[in-house]
Amino acid sequence: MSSFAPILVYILVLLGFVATNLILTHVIGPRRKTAVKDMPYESGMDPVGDARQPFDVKFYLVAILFLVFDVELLFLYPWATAAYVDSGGVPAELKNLMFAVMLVFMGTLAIAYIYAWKHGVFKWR
Amino acid sequence: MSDVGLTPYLIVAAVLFVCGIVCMATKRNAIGVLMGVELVLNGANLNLIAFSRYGQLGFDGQAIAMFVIVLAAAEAAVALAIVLNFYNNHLTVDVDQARQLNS
Amino acid sequence: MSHESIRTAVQLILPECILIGTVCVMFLTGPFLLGRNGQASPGLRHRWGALALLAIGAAAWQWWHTTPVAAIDGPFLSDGLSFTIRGIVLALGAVLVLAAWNQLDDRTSAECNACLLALLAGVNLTAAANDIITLFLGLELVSIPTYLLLYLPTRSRPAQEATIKYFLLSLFSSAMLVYGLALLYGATGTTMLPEIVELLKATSLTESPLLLIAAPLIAAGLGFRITAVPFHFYAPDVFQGVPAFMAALLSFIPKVVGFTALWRLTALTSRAAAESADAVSTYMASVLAVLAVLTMFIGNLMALRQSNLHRLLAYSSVAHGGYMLVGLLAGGGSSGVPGGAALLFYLAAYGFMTIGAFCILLAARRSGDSIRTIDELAGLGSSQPLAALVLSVFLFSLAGLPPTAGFLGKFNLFLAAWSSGVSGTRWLAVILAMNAAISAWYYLRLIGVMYLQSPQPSTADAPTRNLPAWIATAVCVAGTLGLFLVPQAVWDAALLATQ
Repeated sequence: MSSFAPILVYILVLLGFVATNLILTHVIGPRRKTAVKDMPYESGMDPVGDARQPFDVKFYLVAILFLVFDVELLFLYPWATAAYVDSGGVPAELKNLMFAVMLVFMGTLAIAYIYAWKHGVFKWR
Repeated sequence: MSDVGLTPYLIVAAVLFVCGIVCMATKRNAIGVLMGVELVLNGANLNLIAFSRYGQLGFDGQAIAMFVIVLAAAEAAVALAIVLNFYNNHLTVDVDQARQLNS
Repeated sequence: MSHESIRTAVQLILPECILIGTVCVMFLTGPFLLGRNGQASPGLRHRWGALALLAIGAAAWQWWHTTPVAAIDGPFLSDGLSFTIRGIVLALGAVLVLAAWNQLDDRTSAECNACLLALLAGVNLTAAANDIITLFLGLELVSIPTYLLLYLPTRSRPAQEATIKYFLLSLFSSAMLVYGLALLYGATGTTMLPEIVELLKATSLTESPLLLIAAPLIAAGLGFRITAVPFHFYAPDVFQGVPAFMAALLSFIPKVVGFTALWRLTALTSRAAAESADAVSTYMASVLAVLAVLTMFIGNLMALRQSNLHRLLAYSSVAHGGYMLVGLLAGGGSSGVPGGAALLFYLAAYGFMTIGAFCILLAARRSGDSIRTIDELAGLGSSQPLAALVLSVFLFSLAGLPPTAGFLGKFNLFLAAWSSGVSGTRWLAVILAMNAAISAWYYLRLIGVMYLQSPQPSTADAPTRNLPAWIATAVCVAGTLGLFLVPQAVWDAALLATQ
């Protein structure tokens, strides 16, 4: 049973984080009510009218970036499942090297991120 | 649950492959062609993973499948950019409209 | 797997690591050198071009200090083939950077140069692949930057049309190739290329129906890249729509990767021929022989009736793909000139002459971005004698006439096919010679137009001199004539690859 203790701690921290954030935003966040903000939320679209309206091009840019970064994370799964198991995973003498390789991988992703950021992709113009 | 063996996987993959090829050959819409490509790639992935599971071949097949998934995503990203640019100039994604160049 | 094996694997691809590292630097610093609202200071492209040349130089220095070794157990290998291909690709990659130099926008030149370097690294990785995964990754590392290079420099309607055509068909071919490779993996049970090749020679078709499906799929996927005939139809349209440096790139780089991958997968060029008549490699060889004949005839016959120079050179590139396939097929022989060496020598010669032809069209333009129609060539002999002379050298070489590299290359291919001793390649040699004669007609017609017709009155002002394109042209002239006069070094390297 004691092996589940870390999970319990994790759940407590998680709930605490959520509760703190909710309470803090309600207490110290500014509140301005406008007609648009009071509309029912429908993924950014007008809730009344034809559903087949063309999307803004800005959505495509974000979609492209999401697609790439989301899928690149696929390479983290095999490493994460194999790196720190006691038997059958990455051999002990290679663990540090593998960690360095993953850092290089994340570094190349960061280059792509900086490139997109500097070109103003994240600005919602 | 009994194990179904390798053959059903290969059949499903072959069906995906044929669907993808038909989709690429008949769709006039650039996004539709792209979906056909994804179907073929997924068929190939299914093959790779089934071979890896039933052929005592170790993890090689799964490793290839992962690279294929990532490259498919990279290609899809480039595709969205190119198709978007095509749309801006031609106001359609119908690839039959691309026929200015000929002899 | 140990530290040692990982270190050797990385050391085998050091030239590519240099190229990819430079690509990262370019993407990282590129956006920071642009001013507000994305405008670049004029002349920024010179810096990026110089950096790209520097990176290629560093990679070439690293390449020169590698020694080819026999096959090893790992994802990469550095044998004679990868040594030769790397040398050819780095030399012609530098020429392509020079050709692209002034056709690039200051704003996007960082990205374009980075894509060029990534693409060269991809070709080299394909040549160094010892494993299906690295082979496939190398091929894709060539394809994806090619799409970007088609898309970035110009946003005109014809260029976009060419981009979308090339892109969709290339995706289609990649998908077929992946499916074929998946079946190949299942049928042979290994990802290591040397083992696959051994199994293909030993296995007969009746034993493995999977291979019966895999072989045509792989041939289709790679046939697109070498513009073999049923998969060639995109070439003229795409060449017509894109800028001249991209047409030069598309006529050469996909051929190099396509032939390298075919060589690695089939090893038709190894000295030991297939053991039995119904082995899978024999089956693939006969499929490829049919493709070679169709490719040579259709490429040359279609080129006869073109009036646009880019389309003409596109069909010429199709035909040259057919000639090189003959070299690949003749490689299975056991005597005389090795077909593989003839193929590699021809690849080098073809690279210099086709890229050179596009470079001189670019350098000698009188209006627009390059010379595009045959009419614009009229009277070039009197208005720009140097350009006409240089273009004549390249056309002589493409037609296979002495004193140029093209003559020696075609002669080697012919000898290899004639003396290989594999059944059927003598017919291929005869068809090769017939096609060389057909092609001479349309190449020599262009020389006639340049020297015998009177020039059209030109209304446009002479554009500024494109110095990098002239340097690229000079390198190509040196290569085209040099490979005829002193071919020994390149021929030795090509022979090394077949051992």
